[in-house]
Parts: sequence; C-alpha cells; structure tokens
Amino acid sequence: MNGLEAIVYHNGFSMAAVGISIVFTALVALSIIIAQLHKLLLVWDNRKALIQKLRGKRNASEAAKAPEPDVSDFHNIHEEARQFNILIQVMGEPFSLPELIYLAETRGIRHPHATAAHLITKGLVFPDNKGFFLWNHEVYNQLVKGSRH
Amino acid sequence: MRQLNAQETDINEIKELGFFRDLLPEEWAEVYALLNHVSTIEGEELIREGDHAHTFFIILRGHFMIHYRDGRALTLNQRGDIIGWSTVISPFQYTANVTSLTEGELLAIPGDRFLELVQGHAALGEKLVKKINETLYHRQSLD
Amino acid sequence: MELFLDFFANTGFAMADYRNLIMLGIGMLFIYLGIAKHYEPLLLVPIGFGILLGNIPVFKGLGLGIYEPNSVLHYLYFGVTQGIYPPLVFLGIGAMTDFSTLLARPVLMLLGAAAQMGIFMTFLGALALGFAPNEAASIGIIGGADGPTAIFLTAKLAKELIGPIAVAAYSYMALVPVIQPPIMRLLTTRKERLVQMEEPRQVSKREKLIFPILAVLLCCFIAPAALPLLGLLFLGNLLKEAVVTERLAQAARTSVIDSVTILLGMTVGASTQADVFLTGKSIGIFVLGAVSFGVATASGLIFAKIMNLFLKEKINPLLGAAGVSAVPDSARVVHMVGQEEDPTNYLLMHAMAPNVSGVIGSAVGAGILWSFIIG
Repeated sequence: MNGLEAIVYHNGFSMAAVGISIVFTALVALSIIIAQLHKLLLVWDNRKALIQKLRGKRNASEAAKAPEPDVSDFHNIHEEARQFNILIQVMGEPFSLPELIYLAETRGIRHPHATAAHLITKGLVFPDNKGFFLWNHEVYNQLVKGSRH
Repeated sequence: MRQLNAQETDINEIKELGFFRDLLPEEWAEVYALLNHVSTIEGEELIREGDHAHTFFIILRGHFMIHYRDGRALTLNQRGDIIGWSTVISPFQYTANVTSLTEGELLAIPGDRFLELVQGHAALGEKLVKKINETLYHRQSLD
Repeated sequence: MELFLDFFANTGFAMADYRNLIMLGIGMLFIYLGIAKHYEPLLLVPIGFGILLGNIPVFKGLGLGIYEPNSVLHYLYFGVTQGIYPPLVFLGIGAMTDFSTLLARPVLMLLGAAAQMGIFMTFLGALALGFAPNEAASIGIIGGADGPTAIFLTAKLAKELIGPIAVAAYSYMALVPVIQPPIMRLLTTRKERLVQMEEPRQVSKREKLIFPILAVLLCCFIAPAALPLLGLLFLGNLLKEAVVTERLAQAARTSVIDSVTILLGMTVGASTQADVFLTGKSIGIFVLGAVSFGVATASGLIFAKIMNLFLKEKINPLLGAAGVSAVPDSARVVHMVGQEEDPTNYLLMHAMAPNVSGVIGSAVGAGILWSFIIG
C-alpha cells in the first residue's frame, strides 16, 4: 500500500497533527512558565514587603527603618562574583575594599557589604598585606568554568 | 547596634576566648561585669575615625572591616578578634572606621570603664594590654 | 596446500564481495570527513571505524559479527538496541548546555517546536512510500537532527533499521553547514537576515536551577515517553547548575559522554554490515532523511517569519533554522550566514535558544511517536 491510501490507512494524518500539537503544547507551556519565572522569584524575594503592604500595617516609621539584610541566597556567589569582578576591572588592582563596596552600593548591587565578606571568605578577594586587596583570578576562573559547563 | 539579652550569651564560651583565657576568676568577674552583648546589621558603622573612643569590642560572630581614609582596609571575622584599642591608648580617639560587613554579634565594653579597669588593676591591666599589643603586632598596626 | 587453501577460504579476501568494498569505502569516507574536514569528528571517526569493523567479512558461527549472539560487539551493541546509550549521551549534553539564552527569551522556544514539523512531515512521507508505521516514525525522527534521539526511537520501534537511520542522522548532522545555508538564503530576504537581536536580559542562578526541574516535570507529564531522554538531559543540567555537584557534572560532560559516544559510534558503525545496510530501504531512508532535514529547517525559518508578524521586537528569521537540534552546529551556521550579510551581527548566542529547545522538542516528538506506535 502506498501514497495517500497508506497514510489514511495507518491514521497518519491524525498522528502527525496530534503529534506536532503536543510538541507545541509542551514547549509553549514551558516557555510561558519560564517567562514568568523571574517575576515569580521577584515576588518571592519581596514577599515580606508585599504581605505588609497587603495587610496595611506598614506605618511611616517602619517604612523608614532599614530592612534586615537577606543573605539567604549567598550560598551561590557566581552572580555577585561576576558583578564585583567587573567593578574591580574598572578600579584596577590592588584595589581599596571600602571603595569597592561604595561603588557596588552606588550601582545598586544588592548586599554589597555581605557580598564583599562572602567573596573574602571564599578566597575570591584577598588582602595584599599592605591594606589593599587583590582579586583571585584563578579561583574566579574555576568558578566561571564550573558554571559554564 | 542592638543590645541582646543575657540568655543569648554563653558565659563559659566567652570565658574561653583568647582575650580572657588567662584571667584569674576574680579578674574575669571584674571584666564580665562590664560586658554587653550587642548585634549589628550589614553595613552598620560601628566606629568613626576621629571620634572619642567610646567602646571596646570583641567579635563573637560576623565579618567586620576596619578602614582608613586613604582607602586601606583589613577585615576581621575570627571569634575573639578585638576592635577599638584606642579606648586604652592616648589620645583615646579612634584612628579608623569600622563597618559591619555582615550581621554580627560582639561583646562591647564601654571605653571609659574599660580604661578605668586597665588603669586601676595593674596585673589585670597588664594582661589585657599585652593581649591588645599582640593583636596589634599581628595586624601590623593597621588598626 | 589444501590447508593453505582452507585457510585462504576463511580470510576476508576470499569472503568479501563488492558490497563489503562499498561499505569499507563509506567507512573510510567518514573517517576522512571527520579528520580532514572536521565534520563532527567525534561521531564520524568512531562510526567510520565501526563501519570498517562491521564490514570485514568474517566466518559466520565464530561469534565475531555484531549480529551474532555472544560476540563482544553484540554485547557492546546491547546499549544501542536497548536504548541505553542515548539517554547517557543526553546526560552529558545536559551537563554541557547553558539554557540561559532560552530563559532570557522564552519565545524563541517556539522555533524549536516549529522545526519538529520535519519529523511529522517525513513520517507522512515514509508512510506514503510504503514503510510500516514503526519504520516511518523512526525515519521521521531523522528530521529532529538529533542522533541519540533517532537511535533511541529506532531501537524501540524498528531495531533492524538502526544502522541506516543512525548513519543517516549523523551524516546529516555533520552536513548541517552544507545543507542548511542554501535553504536559509532561499527562504529569507537580505533585509531579514540583517535584523539585529536585542541584548537578552540577565538570567539569575536561581532561574537556571529551577528550570531543569520545572522542565522535566512539565514535559514528562505531557509526554511521559520522553522520560528516558529528557530525564537524563535535565538531570545533567541540574548537576551543572547546582555547582555543589560539579564533580558529577564534570564526569557527565567528559568521561561519561565520551565513553558512551565511542561505544555508540563504533557499534552503530559496525551494525552497517553490507548485507543488512545496502538495501532499497536504506536508500529510501537516506532520501527521506534529507527531505526531513530540509523540511525541519524550512519550518523553523517560516515560523520565525510568521512570529515576526506578531512580535513588537522583531527576531532574525535565520534563528528558525537553529530549531533543528544539531547542537551547536545549526546555531553556528545561523551565526555564519548572518555574518555574511553583516559582520557586526552576532547571532550565535541568540541561536542557542531555539537550538536547545530543539533538543527538548525532538525528544518530546520521539516520545510521542513511540507512544503512538506502541499504543
């Protein structure tokens, strides 16, 4: 059996139509979800503020109070390391740690102080014993290599 | 800086810190009476260069940065590290800024009372100043 | 003298016929293309060498040939016929793949879906040419441009066609730089090829960590038969993104995938014994495979142009060609064709998004065909 007759006999048209529809459904659903993912994460990060806003309990004095730093996601330092690395490239080495933190703060990087401490703990930033600091390119390259693959 | 209550401080652990380890029981009692347990938040300024040396600190937890006007800095994160030696050394003015890089906990001793203690108890004073000098030597006088 | 003649009768020289010589020629061509022309050398060299091994005439009954039970090659071939090697290859691919461009611009995922049209159009073509549905499905999957997926599905549906289908799939994957550019130029205008893409947004580490978990759950709930391939693909990716499992990710993207590729390539090559490979069906498979590849490329390109009718931020339609899942070759070809028109147009990073979604799409497509045919 050949030609259209074979396709119809084996139910080919419906299999192809349903098949491609399922592929599209899966990938469209996945694309919709991942398109919203970063927004959901943003809401999650700001959940305390949102809850307070919804409950209307936030008064002026509380609003002026500095929020408690959230360093729960600092177990992962790739992104922070990348941002600090860019700043250090601009500053040159050896660099001044307070100046680096100031630059990070003015550029809106979240938790610049805790990030600096974290990078020091992880050995990405280390002192030159003259009061200034250096960037550990070897550790950073390992980190980048690890995240790239 | 926030004052923590007594229950949050483990006396025996504090007693074992290098800074207090060699003290006799009666000396420890004198020092302990002056200790306050405080906490800091990220980015909080503990000490400002040029200010009257109001407090002597001993780190329990957290990461702190001592920094100078010329951009030099050093960081401390070891339990038992000290901050604020200017409280016992003339002219009793801080020579650097200190910022808390992370959330932290410290023992704080009011500067004037710490000075009184060091000046009023020769043996105790000698022990404590000796510890401070050792620390300063290791830090290569950056503090 | 009689002893010598007996011995000679059992050598490859006496047993070879013209078909063996043709296949040995093909094997050497593969090795040449891999080493001298750098066409997918990691695949073509082991496959080419496997073709040589499989087409050295051997005395049947000695347990030497790949189709003889208890032969060493037969045991190694077990990983192919049972569909074990392809998911392991996917584990390594997952550990190598960075999905961030896809996460930054999820709309490009549709191009990976569109390119899977090639699979289903060829499935219909194969049915029309008289192939049984299980064979037609295995031939159609060549259009997914994904060797491991093609082998996996064929192992499940039409074991006897593994040799020709695997060789066709890998040959066309190797020939991506030759097959795709003319289709791309034919279906796009110069103005379209000059379109520059917007810089993608920055993707956070947490998104990259959550993605493999979300993707495996969603895709496998929709198409459970894609589980062996997608399960290991996303496991590999999670190992990569988790950082704390870096050692495992490192093993998956190096030793595991390399070992499996050697075994897969060599045994697939060895399975192309002249008597089972040089048949009318194989010719049909090669012709349909080429059609499938072309249709897949064209579908992606046309769909990208359709998308542009609705999108505010226009995309370069060349990206549609990267929807076929030959990673990263088709993305490279897109970049190359784009740069021919405008050397400042860097499309590689953007093309990786449909490229990796093509991998997911072809695995889902294979799972669907498998469930249709066995169901």
